[in-house]
Amino acid sequence: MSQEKIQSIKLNKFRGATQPFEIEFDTKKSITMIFGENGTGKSTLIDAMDFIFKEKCGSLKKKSFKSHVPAVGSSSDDVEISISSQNYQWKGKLNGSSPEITRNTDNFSIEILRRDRIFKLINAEPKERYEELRDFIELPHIIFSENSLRDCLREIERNINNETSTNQNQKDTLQKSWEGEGKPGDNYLKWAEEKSKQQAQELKEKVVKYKKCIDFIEKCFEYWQNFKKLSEGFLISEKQLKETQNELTELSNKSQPHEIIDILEKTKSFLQKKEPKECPACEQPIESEKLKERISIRLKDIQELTTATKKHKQAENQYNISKRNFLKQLEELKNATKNLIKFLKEEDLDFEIQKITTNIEEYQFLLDENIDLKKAEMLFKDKESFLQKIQDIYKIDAKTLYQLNLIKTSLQSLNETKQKIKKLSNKKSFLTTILQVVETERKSYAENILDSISNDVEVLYSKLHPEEGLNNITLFLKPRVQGSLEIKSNFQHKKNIPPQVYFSDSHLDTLGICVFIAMIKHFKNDVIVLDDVLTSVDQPHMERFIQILHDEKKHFNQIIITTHYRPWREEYKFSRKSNSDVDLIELSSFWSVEHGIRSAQTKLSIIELENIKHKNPFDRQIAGSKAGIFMESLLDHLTLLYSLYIPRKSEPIYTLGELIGCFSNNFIEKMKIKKNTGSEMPLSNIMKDIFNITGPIRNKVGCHWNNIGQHFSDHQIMSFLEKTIEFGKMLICSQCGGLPNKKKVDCWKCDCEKTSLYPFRK
Amino acid sequence: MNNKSDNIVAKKIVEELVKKQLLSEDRKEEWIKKLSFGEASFEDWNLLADVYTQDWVKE
Repeated sequence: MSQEKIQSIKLNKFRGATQPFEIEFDTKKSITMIFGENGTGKSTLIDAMDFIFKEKCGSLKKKSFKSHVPAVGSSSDDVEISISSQNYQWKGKLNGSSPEITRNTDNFSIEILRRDRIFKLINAEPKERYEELRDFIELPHIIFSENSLRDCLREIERNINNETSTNQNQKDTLQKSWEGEGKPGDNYLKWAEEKSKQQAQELKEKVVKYKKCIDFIEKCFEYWQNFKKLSEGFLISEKQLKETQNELTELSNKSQPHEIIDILEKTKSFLQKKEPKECPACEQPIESEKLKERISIRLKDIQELTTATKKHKQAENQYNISKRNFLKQLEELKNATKNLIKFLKEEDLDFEIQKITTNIEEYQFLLDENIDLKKAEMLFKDKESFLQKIQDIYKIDAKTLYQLNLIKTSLQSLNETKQKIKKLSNKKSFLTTILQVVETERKSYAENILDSISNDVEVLYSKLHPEEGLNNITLFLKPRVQGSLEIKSNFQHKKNIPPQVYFSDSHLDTLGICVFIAMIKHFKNDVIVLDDVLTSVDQPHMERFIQILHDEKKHFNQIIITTHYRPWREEYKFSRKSNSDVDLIELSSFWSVEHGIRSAQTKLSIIELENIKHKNPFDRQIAGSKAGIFMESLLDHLTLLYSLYIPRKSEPIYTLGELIGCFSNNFIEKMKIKKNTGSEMPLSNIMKDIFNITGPIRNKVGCHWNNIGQHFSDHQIMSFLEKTIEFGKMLICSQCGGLPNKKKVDCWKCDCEKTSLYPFRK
Repeated sequence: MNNKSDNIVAKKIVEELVKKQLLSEDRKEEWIKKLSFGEASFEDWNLLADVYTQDWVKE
């Protein structure tokens, strides 16, 4: 814990601060009390601290920052907050809808307690209750590590499940194979182990050999089929070639040489144009029409020859291609046959195959220069069923080999998955033990805190509600449930009951406050802020609560209280509660957009009287009125202290005269004040003096207009004022600022016990 | 958020792990840091388990 206290808060355009507002706290005092009626700006001040230190705005709950944080008529950019302690400063503004905070220390802790937190802590379900104390008892970094450990464990469990499922599939495969074999031996595992020991090499070689044999024969078949097709094509192309050759020869015999075609075509053209009677070359007579007809016949013969030549060339090309393909396929067939013969000769085929392949020499003729096609046709026709047979044998052996391999692989995988499961189970067991350690230590940390604060809660609560039969308050985490907080206590004869069942609202409120105070004390926070936390308690409980705060203030640097409860303020103002360590501030009840929040220092009554005494001109009425009220307060305190007799009324409203009438001369003679300096002051003289003049001056001058009052001189009123101040100063402790109120053996003492009032009893 | 409380608990956890022989003495500081700063990741735990259970298999 540092020594820092909040010294000032400056606001501009934040919530209710429509105008620039600054409030300063007296850092010499441990308690700061901000009094204000509703709507005066208390929540704005608390929200400002919440904004700066927690980056939230408690009173807004889930409302938007952007629309609710800026003051009326302002925007996010206008918002300014500045909080200072003796050595540090925090500044905040609104960046869009998010708080933007600058600070020059992280070494400062503050807790803000609002009514809704208290309500949740006590009345909510265990999970929400836990949320309220989460920041105190939770270990975020440990939880992060614990969660990653849990993730790791979950992944391992997933892997174990996957491997177990694979393992089961492998077992099923083996069992099915075993059942397929007729369930030989004791069980499928023993059978599989036996099977896996068998040598599969021999069978594998055999299957490979069969496959090769099938491949060779299939190749021969394939080439033969192709060869057959190509040979048919080759024969057709050969025939076509011969036919075109004959046609060409025939046309060539009756046709003219090529050069003549040009002459004939030109002549025909000439004849068509000129139609001459004689030949222009030899000048012999000609018959144009006949000559044209003859030329046309000759030209037609020449064209047929050209066409036949083309056809012949095409047939020749086709023949060459067919021949090339045919020869190539023949070569392939011969090669495939050679390979087959070689394979059958070289490989040591077993009986079954030999029986089917019969004589190798059967294939030999396929290697001849000119294959006997009919013989080949016969051979392959005979051998069609042969291929099927050998394929059947191959399939049986291949299936056996496949099963053997499957058994081996499954058994091997089974053993591997077993190993993997074992390894994963080891990891799981290892990490589960670690998780138990992490979880136990994390929970015991929280439980130790709750345990240690439980005692303090009970002490605080007993001070607030003495002799009300409540004890053994226990806060604990619900076992086996993450983030769930329970509260139980004994109440009168009932044991371990949830307080919500029997307690009144005020009892629950105060219990919640005690839990928070104990928790904040445990963590040695610098500053605790109580935002209007008590509204449901009666006067005696309120006084005890104020006393608790005074008793507990030593555990914090500063307690900041906001309240709208005027009697609390009056307790301090009239010194009925020690006030020397209390900074009293009040907010103006007349908040407006124009003026915003306004604050002032609350003056103690005795200081006010001193000010009136020195004010010029002297205000007779104020002096009579204020001194009278102060005197009423002092006498009210003394009559309660000594249980003095007073006329019974339906309401406890007593006049100054009635209060004075309680004090007999005999009793006044015994009354005296002792200060820690050793000085002893009898009260009889001053009390008698005051009693003689108090009533008339207070009533006739301070309260009413009348002739009698006008006959009192200023000196008489001043004397009353001075004696009232003197009487007050005698009774009020100069150290703690409070009246004697604690019972001691033979007297009453003030809170700091440096001022004693005698006697103890009337 | 400061990790003072996390650090206290991290130390206790690590002491307990060493006592139970789930972590070797020479890795204490490393793991106190990991736990205190919330840096013990999935991979860290997995690797730790691998290393230790490997020894178990050897045994």
